[in-house]
Amino acid sequence: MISDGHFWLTIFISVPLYWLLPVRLRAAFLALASYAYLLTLDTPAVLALTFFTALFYVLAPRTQGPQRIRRITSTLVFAVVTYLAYFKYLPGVAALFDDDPVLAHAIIPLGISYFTFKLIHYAIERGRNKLPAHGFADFACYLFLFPIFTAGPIERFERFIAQRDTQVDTTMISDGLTRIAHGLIKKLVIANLLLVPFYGSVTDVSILSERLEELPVYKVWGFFLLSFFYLYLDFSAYSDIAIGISRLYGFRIVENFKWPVLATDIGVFWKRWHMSLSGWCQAYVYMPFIGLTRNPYLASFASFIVMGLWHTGSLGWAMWGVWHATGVVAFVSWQHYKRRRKWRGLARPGWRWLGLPITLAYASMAGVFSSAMDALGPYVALRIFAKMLGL
Amino acid sequence: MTMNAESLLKFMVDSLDVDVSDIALDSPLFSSGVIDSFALVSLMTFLESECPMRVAPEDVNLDNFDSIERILAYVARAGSSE
Repeated sequence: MISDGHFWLTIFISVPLYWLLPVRLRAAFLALASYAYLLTLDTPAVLALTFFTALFYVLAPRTQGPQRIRRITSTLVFAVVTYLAYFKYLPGVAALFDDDPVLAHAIIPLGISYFTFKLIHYAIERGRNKLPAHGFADFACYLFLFPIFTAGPIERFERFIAQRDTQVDTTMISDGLTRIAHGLIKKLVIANLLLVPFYGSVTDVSILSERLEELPVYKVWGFFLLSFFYLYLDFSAYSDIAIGISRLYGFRIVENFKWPVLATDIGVFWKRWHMSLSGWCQAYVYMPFIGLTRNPYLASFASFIVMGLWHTGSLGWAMWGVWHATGVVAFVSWQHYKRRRKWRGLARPGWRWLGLPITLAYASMAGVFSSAMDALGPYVALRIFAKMLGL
Repeated sequence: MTMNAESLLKFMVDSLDVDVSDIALDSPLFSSGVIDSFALVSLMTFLESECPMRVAPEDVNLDNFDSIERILAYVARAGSSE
């Protein structure tokens, strides 16, 4: 979106108008402004979301009996997950049986992964009666808010309503603009101008695969470390811009990244990387799995596989989830083992910081699955993996 | 046995090896990472062993478990409905 002039024009026009309006009209105005802008990007997706918005607002249960609440919530969640699966997952499944399936030509609706997760959150929390009183305009504004529509963060509804200022001041505007500037510098200068040249001649995973035999191990590692840093800078830059623009309208959107590149273990990494997605999965995948199975290992694998498939419905991203789940499970098991053995010395800062390069390396290796496996197939991905391990 | 904040804190120190010196009744436990989410099962088992209640699958959420006061409120609700 940031390369689209209409995006910035929408902000330039709508921010002053938003603050000139009475408070009671602002949510409706911002929902409409977002709606109008998003219609220009992907009309079918926005129309489909309009249908789901009305459906969820009208049907999401509030004060009925527990059986009825469960039934309605399950139906709504099933409906929106089916919609997500139709566009995001079925084409991949169909391709297993047909070289050119009709579904492969379906265009994935804009922002589908984000708005389906927000809708699921809304239906479940409304069924639990945990949402604040709100009108349709608040709900529509929450779903359609254009700065966070395509790249998140995945905000929670109650937080969205609670963290909204109704008085504009210079600090708010200055904070918003500063955050936008940070994002733009991160994306355009640090990632695109300063980091990209370090790739040298190995600019993508296909070239890496073609030259795998001749490349030294450190160059393969270098490629995946650079890709990890690029992904972090790129994605966190979009989050900065989205959070900064939302601030111009008075919203304090949830943070998505908190220096994950400085995490000293994989557990901390996942408290700092894509926090809104991991928080969503903790609430709606991990905890229900714990409730049903009482098995934290199974719940971890389920959560990370959902996180992987949330990105893309592919084997590579599913394996990305398995890789991270394995890391987290192994790390937590090690923590519990240390605790039982009373090995407290290993918690000292010096030891802890040793975990930083290990965590970075582990997180970077996940790129073998998310990029190489999908682009080049499992065999090539495993060859790259083996090369990185010096095999 | 009646569950109270002291029993919960003692369980967190003895079984989960958590430093509870900075934990207030409303401090987030799981969402802040004070307690790792793997310990949730241990906590549920502890509550069920100490109180006349069973944690239902649909009750396993942060609203019921993310702070000492939320846990105590949940135990009181769940115990009274048993």
